[in-house]
Amino acid sequence: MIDNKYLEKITDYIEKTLTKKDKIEFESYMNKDSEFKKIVNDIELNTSALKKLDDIEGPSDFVVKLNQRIDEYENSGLFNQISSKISNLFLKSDTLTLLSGASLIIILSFSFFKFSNSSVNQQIVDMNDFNDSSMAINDSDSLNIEDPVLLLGNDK
Amino acid sequence: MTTNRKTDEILIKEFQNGDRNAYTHLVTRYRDKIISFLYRYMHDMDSAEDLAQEAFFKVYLKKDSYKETYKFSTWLFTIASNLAKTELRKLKRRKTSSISDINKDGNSDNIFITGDNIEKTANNESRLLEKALAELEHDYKIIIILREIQELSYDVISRILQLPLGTVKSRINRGKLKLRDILINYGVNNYK
Repeated sequence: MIDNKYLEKITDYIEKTLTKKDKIEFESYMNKDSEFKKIVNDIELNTSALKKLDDIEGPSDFVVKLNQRIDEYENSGLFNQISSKISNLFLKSDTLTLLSGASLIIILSFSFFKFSNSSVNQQIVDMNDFNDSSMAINDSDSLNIEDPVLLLGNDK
Repeated sequence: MTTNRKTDEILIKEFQNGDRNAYTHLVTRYRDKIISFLYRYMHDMDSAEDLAQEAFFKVYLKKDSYKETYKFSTWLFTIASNLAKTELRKLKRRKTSSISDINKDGNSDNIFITGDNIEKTANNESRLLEKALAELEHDYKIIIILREIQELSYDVISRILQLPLGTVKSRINRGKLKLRDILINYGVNNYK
Protein backbone atom coordinates (compact mmCIF):
# COMPACT_ATOMS: atom_id res chain seq x y z
CA MET A 1 0.00 0.00 0.00
CA ILE A 2 1.47 3.33 -1.08
CA ASP A 3 1.63 6.13 1.42
CA ASN A 4 -0.61 8.93 0.09
CA LYS A 5 1.89 11.51 1.25
CA TYR A 6 4.41 10.21 -1.30
CA LEU A 7 1.87 9.40 -3.98
CA GLU A 8 0.94 13.09 -4.07
CA LYS A 9 4.58 14.01 -4.68
CA ILE A 10 5.35 11.74 -7.62
CA THR A 11 4.79 14.37 -10.33
CA ASP A 12 6.69 17.02 -8.40
CA TYR A 13 9.56 14.56 -8.03
CA ILE A 14 9.54 13.73 -11.75
CA GLU A 15 9.33 17.43 -12.65
CA LYS A 16 12.10 18.16 -10.15
CA THR A 17 10.07 20.75 -8.28
CA LEU A 18 10.41 19.24 -4.81
CA THR A 19 12.36 21.11 -2.20
CA LYS A 20 15.73 19.63 -1.30
CA LYS A 21 14.35 18.35 2.00
CA ASP A 22 11.27 16.79 0.38
CA LYS A 23 13.39 15.23 -2.34
CA ILE A 24 15.66 13.50 0.16
CA GLU A 25 12.65 12.24 2.11
CA PHE A 26 10.94 11.05 -1.09
CA GLU A 27 14.02 9.20 -2.34
CA SER A 28 14.59 7.63 1.04
CA TYR A 29 11.02 6.23 0.99
CA MET A 30 11.37 5.16 -2.64
CA ASN A 31 14.62 3.29 -1.98
CA LYS A 32 13.00 1.35 0.85
CA ASP A 33 9.97 0.31 -1.25
CA SER A 34 10.86 -1.36 -4.55
CA GLU A 35 7.22 -1.49 -5.68
CA PHE A 36 6.90 2.26 -5.18
CA LYS A 37 10.16 2.78 -7.06
CA LYS A 38 8.75 0.77 -9.97
CA ILE A 39 5.57 2.88 -9.94
CA VAL A 40 7.56 6.12 -10.05
CA ASN A 41 9.67 4.78 -12.88
CA ASP A 42 6.61 3.68 -14.91
CA ILE A 43 4.85 6.97 -14.36
CA GLU A 44 7.95 8.84 -15.50
CA LEU A 45 8.09 6.80 -18.69
CA ASN A 46 4.36 7.15 -19.33
CA THR A 47 4.56 10.89 -18.80
CA SER A 48 7.43 11.15 -21.23
CA ALA A 49 5.42 9.13 -23.81
CA LEU A 50 2.39 11.38 -23.30
CA LYS A 51 4.49 14.44 -24.04
CA LYS A 52 5.54 12.88 -27.33
CA LEU A 53 1.96 12.57 -28.57
CA ASP A 54 1.54 14.91 -31.51
CA ASP A 55 -1.25 17.35 -32.07
CA ILE A 56 -3.94 15.94 -34.32
CA GLU A 57 -4.23 17.93 -37.51
CA GLY A 58 -7.63 19.50 -38.02
CA PRO A 59 -9.45 19.35 -41.37
CA SER A 60 -8.17 21.77 -44.02
CA ASP A 61 -11.60 23.36 -44.47
CA PHE A 62 -12.01 24.07 -40.75
CA VAL A 63 -11.45 27.82 -41.05
CA VAL A 64 -13.57 28.04 -44.22
CA LYS A 65 -16.50 26.33 -42.48
CA LEU A 66 -16.10 28.56 -39.45
CA ASN A 67 -16.05 31.70 -41.59
CA GLN A 68 -19.16 30.52 -43.45
CA ARG A 69 -20.95 30.08 -40.14
CA ILE A 70 -19.87 33.53 -39.00
CA ASP A 71 -21.00 35.10 -42.30
CA GLU A 72 -24.39 33.40 -42.00
CA TYR A 73 -24.68 34.70 -38.47
CA GLU A 74 -23.67 38.22 -39.50
CA ASN A 75 -26.14 38.25 -42.40
CA SER A 76 -29.01 37.10 -40.23
CA GLY A 77 -27.88 39.70 -37.73
CA LEU A 78 -28.10 42.40 -40.40
CA PHE A 79 -31.69 41.40 -41.18
CA ASN A 80 -32.53 41.50 -37.48
CA GLN A 81 -30.89 44.90 -37.14
CA ILE A 82 -32.99 46.35 -39.97
CA SER A 83 -36.17 44.83 -38.51
CA SER A 84 -35.44 46.18 -35.08
CA LYS A 85 -34.61 49.64 -36.47
CA ILE A 86 -37.99 49.74 -38.20
CA SER A 87 -39.69 48.60 -34.99
CA ASN A 88 -37.80 51.20 -33.00
CA LEU A 89 -38.78 53.88 -35.48
CA PHE A 90 -42.43 53.13 -34.85
CA LEU A 91 -41.95 52.79 -31.13
CA LYS A 92 -40.11 56.07 -30.76
CA SER A 93 -42.09 58.25 -33.19
CA ASP A 94 -44.78 60.60 -31.99
CA THR A 95 -48.47 60.34 -32.85
CA LEU A 96 -48.22 62.77 -35.78
CA THR A 97 -45.46 60.74 -37.44
CA LEU A 98 -47.35 57.55 -36.74
CA LEU A 99 -50.53 58.97 -38.30
CA SER A 100 -48.56 60.23 -41.32
CA GLY A 101 -47.09 56.77 -41.75
CA ALA A 102 -50.46 55.12 -41.43
CA SER A 103 -51.98 57.61 -43.94
CA LEU A 104 -49.18 56.90 -46.37
CA ILE A 105 -49.79 53.16 -46.07
CA ILE A 106 -53.55 53.67 -46.64
CA ILE A 107 -52.93 55.88 -49.71
CA LEU A 108 -50.46 53.40 -51.14
CA SER A 109 -52.81 50.48 -50.47
CA PHE A 110 -55.74 52.36 -52.10
CA SER A 111 -53.63 53.28 -55.15
CA PHE A 112 -52.49 49.71 -55.45
CA PHE A 113 -56.07 48.48 -55.14
CA LYS A 114 -57.28 50.94 -57.83
CA PHE A 115 -54.48 49.99 -60.12
CA SER A 116 -55.04 46.27 -59.74
CA ASN A 117 -58.83 46.79 -60.09
CA SER A 118 -58.42 48.65 -63.39
CA SER A 119 -56.17 45.88 -64.60
CA VAL A 120 -58.88 43.34 -63.79
CA ASN A 121 -61.50 45.46 -65.65
CA GLN A 122 -59.19 45.72 -68.61
CA GLN A 123 -58.87 41.96 -68.57
CA ILE A 124 -62.70 41.62 -68.59
CA VAL A 125 -62.94 44.04 -71.52
CA ASP A 126 -60.31 42.10 -73.36
CA MET A 127 -62.27 38.96 -72.80
CA ASN A 128 -65.39 40.48 -74.55
CA ASP A 129 -64.14 40.27 -78.09
CA PHE A 130 -66.99 41.56 -80.28
CA ASN A 131 -65.38 40.36 -83.46
CA ASP A 132 -65.82 36.84 -82.33
CA SER A 133 -67.66 35.10 -85.15
CA SER A 134 -69.16 32.56 -82.85
CA MET A 135 -71.47 35.20 -81.35
CA ALA A 136 -74.71 35.88 -83.40
CA ILE A 137 -75.99 39.44 -83.29
CA ASN A 138 -79.28 40.36 -84.96
CA ASP A 139 -78.77 43.89 -86.22
CA SER A 140 -81.31 43.73 -89.10
CA ASP A 141 -84.01 46.41 -89.45
CA SER A 142 -87.35 44.78 -88.66
CA LEU A 143 -89.35 47.37 -90.73
CA ASN A 144 -87.59 46.59 -93.98
CA ILE A 145 -88.16 42.90 -93.99
CA GLU A 146 -90.85 41.38 -96.17
CA ASP A 147 -92.19 38.80 -93.79
CA PRO A 148 -93.97 40.22 -90.71
CA VAL A 149 -92.27 39.30 -87.44
CA LEU A 150 -94.47 37.54 -84.97
CA LEU A 151 -93.80 39.07 -81.60
CA LEU A 152 -94.02 36.48 -78.93
CA GLY A 153 -96.13 37.36 -75.93
CA ASN A 154 -98.15 40.04 -77.89
CA ASP A 155 -101.79 39.06 -77.93
CA LYS A 156 -102.77 41.80 -80.41
CA MET B 1 5.34 43.41 -36.38
CA THR B 2 4.12 40.55 -38.59
CA THR B 3 0.95 38.70 -37.56
CA ASN B 4 2.92 35.49 -36.91
CA ARG B 5 5.01 37.20 -34.26
CA LYS B 6 2.14 38.91 -32.52
CA THR B 7 1.12 37.49 -29.17
CA ASP B 8 -2.33 36.03 -28.65
CA GLU B 9 -3.22 38.96 -26.47
CA ILE B 10 -2.30 41.49 -29.17
CA LEU B 11 -4.31 39.54 -31.75
CA ILE B 12 -7.42 39.32 -29.56
CA LYS B 13 -7.12 43.05 -28.87
CA GLU B 14 -6.99 43.73 -32.61
CA PHE B 15 -9.97 41.46 -33.10
CA GLN B 16 -11.88 43.30 -30.39
CA ASN B 17 -11.16 46.46 -32.38
CA GLY B 18 -12.77 44.91 -35.44
CA ASP B 19 -9.89 43.17 -37.26
CA ARG B 20 -11.32 39.88 -38.49
CA ASN B 21 -7.93 38.78 -39.86
CA ALA B 22 -6.58 38.76 -36.32
CA TYR B 23 -9.39 36.39 -35.36
CA THR B 24 -8.65 34.09 -38.29
CA HIS B 25 -5.02 34.04 -37.27
CA LEU B 26 -5.93 33.02 -33.72
CA VAL B 27 -8.14 30.24 -35.08
CA THR B 28 -5.34 28.96 -37.29
CA ARG B 29 -2.88 29.13 -34.41
CA TYR B 30 -5.05 27.12 -32.01
CA ARG B 31 -7.10 24.91 -34.35
CA ASP B 32 -4.97 21.75 -34.02
CA LYS B 33 -4.38 22.19 -30.30
CA ILE B 34 -8.08 22.52 -29.55
CA ILE B 35 -9.07 19.66 -31.86
CA SER B 36 -6.39 17.43 -30.29
CA PHE B 37 -7.52 18.30 -26.79
CA LEU B 38 -11.17 17.68 -27.64
CA TYR B 39 -10.45 14.47 -29.54
CA ARG B 40 -8.47 13.02 -26.64
CA TYR B 41 -11.22 14.01 -24.25
CA MET B 42 -14.19 12.88 -26.36
CA HIS B 43 -12.56 10.07 -28.38
CA ASP B 44 -14.63 10.97 -31.37
CA MET B 45 -13.21 13.00 -34.22
CA ASP B 46 -16.54 14.36 -35.47
CA SER B 47 -17.49 15.55 -31.99
CA ALA B 48 -14.04 17.06 -31.55
CA GLU B 49 -14.35 19.05 -34.79
CA ASP B 50 -17.90 20.18 -34.04
CA LEU B 51 -16.97 21.27 -30.54
CA ALA B 52 -13.88 23.06 -31.81
CA GLN B 53 -16.07 24.95 -34.31
CA GLU B 54 -18.42 25.83 -31.48
CA ALA B 55 -15.56 26.98 -29.25
CA PHE B 56 -14.12 29.32 -31.89
CA PHE B 57 -17.59 30.58 -32.75
CA LYS B 58 -18.09 31.43 -29.08
CA VAL B 59 -14.79 33.30 -29.12
CA TYR B 60 -16.16 35.31 -32.04
CA LEU B 61 -19.47 36.04 -30.32
CA LYS B 62 -18.07 36.74 -26.87
CA LYS B 63 -14.91 38.56 -27.89
CA ASP B 64 -15.74 41.55 -25.74
CA SER B 65 -16.05 39.43 -22.62
CA TYR B 66 -12.36 38.47 -22.83
CA LYS B 67 -10.34 40.38 -20.28
CA GLU B 68 -6.57 40.54 -20.21
CA THR B 69 -6.52 39.22 -16.64
CA TYR B 70 -5.91 35.74 -18.07
CA LYS B 71 -4.04 34.53 -21.10
CA PHE B 72 -6.06 34.05 -24.26
CA SER B 73 -5.20 30.32 -24.29
CA THR B 74 -6.65 29.92 -20.77
CA TRP B 75 -9.87 31.53 -21.92
CA LEU B 76 -10.04 29.42 -25.06
CA PHE B 77 -9.36 26.12 -23.25
CA THR B 78 -11.95 27.04 -20.63
CA ILE B 79 -14.57 27.52 -23.35
CA ALA B 80 -13.56 24.26 -25.05
CA SER B 81 -13.50 22.19 -21.86
CA ASN B 82 -16.87 23.54 -20.72
CA LEU B 83 -18.38 22.66 -24.09
CA ALA B 84 -16.85 19.18 -23.94
CA LYS B 85 -18.12 18.55 -20.41
CA THR B 86 -21.62 19.66 -21.39
CA GLU B 87 -21.52 17.41 -24.46
CA LEU B 88 -20.38 14.41 -22.41
CA ARG B 89 -23.17 15.00 -19.91
CA LYS B 90 -25.67 15.04 -22.78
CA LEU B 91 -24.20 11.85 -24.23
CA LYS B 92 -24.26 10.12 -20.86
CA ARG B 93 -27.90 11.03 -20.35
CA ARG B 94 -28.73 9.76 -23.84
CA LYS B 95 -26.89 6.50 -23.34
CA THR B 96 -27.87 5.80 -19.75
CA SER B 97 -30.12 2.94 -20.71
CA SER B 98 -27.41 1.11 -22.62
CA ILE B 99 -24.58 1.70 -20.15
CA SER B 100 -25.63 -1.15 -17.88
CA ASP B 101 -25.50 -3.53 -20.83
CA ILE B 102 -22.10 -2.39 -22.02
CA ASN B 103 -20.27 -1.70 -18.77
CA LYS B 104 -21.07 -4.28 -16.20
CA ASP B 105 -18.21 -3.01 -14.08
CA GLY B 106 -19.95 0.32 -13.79
CA ASN B 107 -17.31 2.35 -15.63
CA SER B 108 -19.45 4.58 -17.78
CA ASP B 109 -16.45 6.29 -19.36
CA ASN B 110 -15.81 3.37 -21.66
CA ILE B 111 -18.91 3.99 -23.69
CA PHE B 112 -17.19 6.49 -25.95
CA ILE B 113 -14.33 4.27 -26.98
CA THR B 114 -14.56 2.63 -30.35
CA GLY B 115 -11.93 0.75 -32.27
CA ASP B 116 -12.18 3.09 -35.24
CA ASN B 117 -11.46 6.17 -33.19
CA ILE B 118 -8.43 4.69 -31.58
CA GLU B 119 -7.06 3.39 -34.87
CA LYS B 120 -6.88 6.94 -36.17
CA THR B 121 -3.77 7.57 -34.10
CA ALA B 122 -0.36 6.95 -35.52
CA ASN B 123 1.89 4.23 -34.18
CA ASN B 124 1.55 1.30 -31.80
CA GLU B 125 2.99 2.97 -28.73
CA SER B 126 0.90 6.06 -29.01
CA ARG B 127 -2.11 3.95 -30.01
CA LEU B 128 -1.96 2.02 -26.74
CA LEU B 129 -1.41 5.19 -24.78
CA GLU B 130 -4.37 6.88 -26.48
CA LYS B 131 -6.50 3.83 -25.76
CA ALA B 132 -5.47 3.79 -22.10
CA LEU B 133 -6.16 7.51 -21.89
CA ALA B 134 -9.60 6.92 -23.34
CA GLU B 135 -10.39 4.46 -20.58
CA LEU B 136 -9.40 6.85 -17.84
CA GLU B 137 -12.16 8.55 -15.86
CA HIS B 138 -12.90 12.04 -17.18
CA ASP B 139 -11.82 13.89 -14.04
CA TYR B 140 -8.33 12.43 -14.33
CA LYS B 141 -8.16 12.39 -18.09
CA ILE B 142 -8.81 16.08 -18.63
CA ILE B 143 -6.05 17.09 -16.23
CA ILE B 144 -3.51 14.71 -17.77
CA ILE B 145 -4.33 15.97 -21.28
CA LEU B 146 -4.05 19.61 -20.27
CA ARG B 147 -0.86 19.10 -18.29
CA GLU B 148 1.14 16.48 -20.15
CA ILE B 149 -0.04 16.87 -23.74
CA GLN B 150 -1.03 20.52 -23.95
CA GLU B 151 1.68 21.38 -21.44
CA LEU B 152 -0.31 23.97 -19.54
CA SER B 153 0.78 25.04 -16.07
CA TYR B 154 -0.99 23.83 -12.92
CA ASP B 155 -2.16 27.39 -12.29
CA VAL B 156 -3.78 27.61 -15.72
CA ILE B 157 -5.38 24.16 -15.37
CA SER B 158 -6.71 25.17 -11.99
CA ARG B 159 -8.33 28.24 -13.59
CA ILE B 160 -9.68 26.33 -16.59
CA LEU B 161 -11.28 23.61 -14.49
CA GLN B 162 -12.10 25.92 -11.58
CA LEU B 163 -10.48 23.52 -9.14
CA PRO B 164 -8.09 24.27 -6.27
CA LEU B 165 -4.43 23.84 -7.14
CA GLY B 166 -4.10 21.04 -4.60
CA THR B 167 -6.91 19.06 -6.22
CA VAL B 168 -5.31 19.44 -9.66
CA LYS B 169 -1.96 18.14 -8.37
CA SER B 170 -3.58 15.32 -6.47
CA ARG B 171 -5.66 14.24 -9.47
CA ILE B 172 -2.71 14.27 -11.83
CA ASN B 173 -0.83 11.83 -9.61
CA ARG B 174 -3.82 9.56 -9.09
CA GLY B 175 -4.67 9.76 -12.77
CA LYS B 176 -1.16 8.73 -13.77
CA LEU B 177 -1.29 5.83 -11.36
CA LYS B 178 -4.58 4.67 -12.88
CA LEU B 179 -3.18 5.13 -16.37
CA ARG B 180 -0.26 2.91 -15.42
CA ASP B 181 -2.68 0.23 -14.15
CA ILE B 182 -4.62 0.32 -17.42
CA LEU B 183 -1.41 -0.01 -19.43
CA ILE B 184 -0.30 -2.94 -17.28
CA ASN B 185 -3.64 -4.58 -18.03
CA TYR B 186 -2.81 -4.17 -21.73
CA GLY B 187 0.45 -5.98 -21.05
CA VAL B 188 2.58 -2.84 -21.23
CA ASN B 189 5.14 -2.54 -18.48
CA ASN B 190 7.58 -0.03 -19.81
CA TYR B 191 7.84 2.61 -22.49
CA LYS B 192 11.15 3.32 -24.11
